[in-house]
Amino acid sequence: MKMKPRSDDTLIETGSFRDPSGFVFYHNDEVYRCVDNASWAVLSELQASGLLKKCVDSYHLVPSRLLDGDEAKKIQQLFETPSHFVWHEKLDVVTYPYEWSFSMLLDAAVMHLKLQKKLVENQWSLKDATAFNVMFRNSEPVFIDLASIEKPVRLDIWNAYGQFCKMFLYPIMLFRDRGIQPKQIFQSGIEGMDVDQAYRQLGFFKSIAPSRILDVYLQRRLNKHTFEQNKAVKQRLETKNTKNATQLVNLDRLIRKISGFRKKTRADGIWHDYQADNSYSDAARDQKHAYIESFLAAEKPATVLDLGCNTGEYSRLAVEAGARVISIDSDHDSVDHLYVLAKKNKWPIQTILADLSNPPPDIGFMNRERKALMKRVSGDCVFALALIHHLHITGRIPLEGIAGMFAQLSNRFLIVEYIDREDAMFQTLLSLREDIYQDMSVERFKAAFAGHFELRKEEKLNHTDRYMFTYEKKATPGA
Amino acid sequence: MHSVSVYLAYIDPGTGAIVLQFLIAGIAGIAIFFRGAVGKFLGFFGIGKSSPDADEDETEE
Repeated sequence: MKMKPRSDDTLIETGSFRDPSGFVFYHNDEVYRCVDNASWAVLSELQASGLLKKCVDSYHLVPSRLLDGDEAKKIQQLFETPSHFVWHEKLDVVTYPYEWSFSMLLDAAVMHLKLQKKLVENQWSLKDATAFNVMFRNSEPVFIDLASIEKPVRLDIWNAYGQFCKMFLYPIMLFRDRGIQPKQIFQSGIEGMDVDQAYRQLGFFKSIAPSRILDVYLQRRLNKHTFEQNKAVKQRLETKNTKNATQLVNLDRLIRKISGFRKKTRADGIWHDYQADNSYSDAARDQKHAYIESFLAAEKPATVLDLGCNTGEYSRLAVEAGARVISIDSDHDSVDHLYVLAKKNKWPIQTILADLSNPPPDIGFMNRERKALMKRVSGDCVFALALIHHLHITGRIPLEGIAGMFAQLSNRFLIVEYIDREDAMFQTLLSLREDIYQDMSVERFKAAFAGHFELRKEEKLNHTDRYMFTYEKKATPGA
Repeated sequence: MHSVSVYLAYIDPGTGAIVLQFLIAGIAGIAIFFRGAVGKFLGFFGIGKSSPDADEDETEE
């Protein structure tokens, strides 16, 4: 389906072209979906049956409304070709599976299966099972692709089960058994991991373990490779079957299996005690907390972007001050830990697993399907606490470059912690590296940040070699 | 013939996932049939469980 908007204030989502029945677009900061007649009929039936509301209320489907009357007329004016439109609730932050931790992938998988189960119970189904159809509203997974809901020919099996394995089940197994993180799978291949790759990564013995033999070993063995065999399978797929009981058995099996992986992974004790950071005395930590709290109380930023969030000690201060927080870290277990905590406590924290010295780029067809991380996140205030020495020494990024990144990500404020040469952490990072940081000093640091920011406040943390700075972004950089 | 089979292996037919489900469906179908049959048999004598299938929402941890 191809339609040109009349004017530039209507922006078509460049990542929604694979489904020919419609596309997503943006207008006045709202999200809409344009659908063809066939899709519209299906969605109307879904809405009339009350199932649409049920899925939105209890099964994490993105809040959606089929537009009619004046509302539809208003949106129709944006296009020349007559069509149908659906409104979707906009999510604050877009994240992709390669920015999720293991628990996030797991929650997305279980949500996906439960939604499919609810649909199948009512004679509906999801036509695909890509992890890119799931995003997060803080720590709640949200299914965003309404157009994926269909009236299937067969209800005894799920056509998208194979895709579900590639996008969810195998990545979960591979993290569980081989420590391979979701980002290693999804950033290099947006189709997930196919059964042959999964089999090779897991190895023969893991693949025939009782919890894996059906989905990995047998599925691989049953793959047909000739045209004739494929034709026979296709013919069976086109034969109607309205009995959903067997698919429900399979979905229950998958839900139990994946929930089991969650328990087993946790019991293995991969969590570490991140709270213990020995570079601080209690007094210095209290002073740092007080510095940040007084800033939050005075400026009340609506959104905070916590870069290098660790397990979210300072993200939580921002939450307590009423901010919505995006927390980014490159350490998988820290992000996972914070995600689980935020979910349990219902904190408005959106966790993202990403390395700031190499953030996820634009990927997909024409490099336009999935947007780069730097285009998707920002905050009224950026926190960069105990971060810059990692970027500067481990990542070898010049201070000016770091300041430039903060300026791009911040709408207004920046709270940054500077760690001087004498600090124990600085020395540890330096221990095996060539010391090319002889000129590192508070003055040198301030000079690097002066190009983009106006200094508002500074404070040395007592009995440490660490300094806190509050900056405000300059209207015109370099002025 | 061999070359055709190699070619199709390359485009990843993904039929294994479908065939596997037919297999699971077959086995589960038999299980469900017997569970139903046993249920009816017991129900005939007034023994049976009440259906607990109330609409449960996801809250499991």
